[in-house]
Amino acid sequence: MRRAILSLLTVHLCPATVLTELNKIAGANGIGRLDIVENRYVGMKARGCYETPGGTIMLKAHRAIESITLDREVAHLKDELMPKYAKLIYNGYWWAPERVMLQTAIDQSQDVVNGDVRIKLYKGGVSVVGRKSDTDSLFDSNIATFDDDGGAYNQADAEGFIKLNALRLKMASLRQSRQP
Amino acid sequence: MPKLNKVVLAYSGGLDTSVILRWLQETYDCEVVTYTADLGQGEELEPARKKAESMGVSEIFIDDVREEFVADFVFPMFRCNTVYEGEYLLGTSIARPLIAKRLVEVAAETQSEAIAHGATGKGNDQVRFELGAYALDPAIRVIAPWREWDLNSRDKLMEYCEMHNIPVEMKRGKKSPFSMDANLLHISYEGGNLEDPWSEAEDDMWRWTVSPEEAPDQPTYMTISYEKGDIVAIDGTPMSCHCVN
Repeated sequence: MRRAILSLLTVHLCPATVLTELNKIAGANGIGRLDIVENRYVGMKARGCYETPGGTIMLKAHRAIESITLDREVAHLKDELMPKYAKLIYNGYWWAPERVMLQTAIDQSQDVVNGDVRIKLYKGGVSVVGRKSDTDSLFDSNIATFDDDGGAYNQADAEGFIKLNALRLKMASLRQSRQP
Repeated sequence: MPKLNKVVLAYSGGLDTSVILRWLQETYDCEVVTYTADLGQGEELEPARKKAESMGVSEIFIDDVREEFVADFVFPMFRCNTVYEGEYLLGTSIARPLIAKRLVEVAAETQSEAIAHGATGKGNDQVRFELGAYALDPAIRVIAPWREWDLNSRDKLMEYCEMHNIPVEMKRGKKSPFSMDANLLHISYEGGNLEDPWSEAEDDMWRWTVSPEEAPDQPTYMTISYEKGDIVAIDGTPMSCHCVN
């Protein structure tokens, strides 16, 4: 409450202030400690500890808003590209053409990533408790519901879907049983 | 090797980069331009100006790049949920391209032929600074003193300071045994007892977070609002780029 009032009296925050605010709240709740052994680009393993309080919240919250707004295949493809992209940054290739190329794809995917995420912080843990998008949600409770959906999703369609996906598994199995 | 007239040094005002500053002046008989960036490491930057002046530097650049850091590097990286090796959030890695960019820009502004950094020959940062610099300015020269000199201990650094009249403040309190890097995204700790991977980090090492045991017994809730994958509001308070801090 008090923070909102203070904010109205001061001025708008901005990216650096977003991170500063998140760091404060996360740090007070014991969030963001990491202890790892990592593989350096120059060849050896190194042990390091890191405190990334605000970033830890950002990672969780961002995945949450994507979960409700991103198409499945876009999300999966992004996840496949992510380790390559991470390695480029880690190794020092931010200004390299391949990072710029990946950034274009990543940024394009984000056009629909609009909405709100509700986060709970408790003793070192970050939990997502709710997410919504008034403009870009792909979540349709009519389709997903266990209740009567009024024909939104035809369960009979699933049989054909499964049969066609099973066809090549059956062929592979038949081949195996033909071999001595 | 053509004579070097000017080099831009990534300068923090600390012991290592002050030794580097003098070493560059002595070894290359050149002018040093200092570049100091506020990336949110939580340190005063003006002492770096005074120290550089006391060491004969006349072109001193000090930048608050926190906004650019988060808007142009951190936020774009988080759009991909970026994690290295399953856990590391790349807090140090993502700051280096910005420093490289500024060093190259300052070199152009001051007609310096080279840039210099204080990263050792054993780490990733030397690679990050230098690949970034070469990508942005193929003609730039890079000097990495740690790969050239033989000052490989704190004692040798202190000895160099005495021999070359580099003022060293005796900081009050114990010097941290860890090698640390800090910016608005993270703090990193290496060295000390951490060099034994089986040894647990002491609780008094951590600076920005309380331990989970010390955290409040009541949960804290917050609402985070996104536009095109970037955070624009916390708890309903909108955030635009007109920051008065």
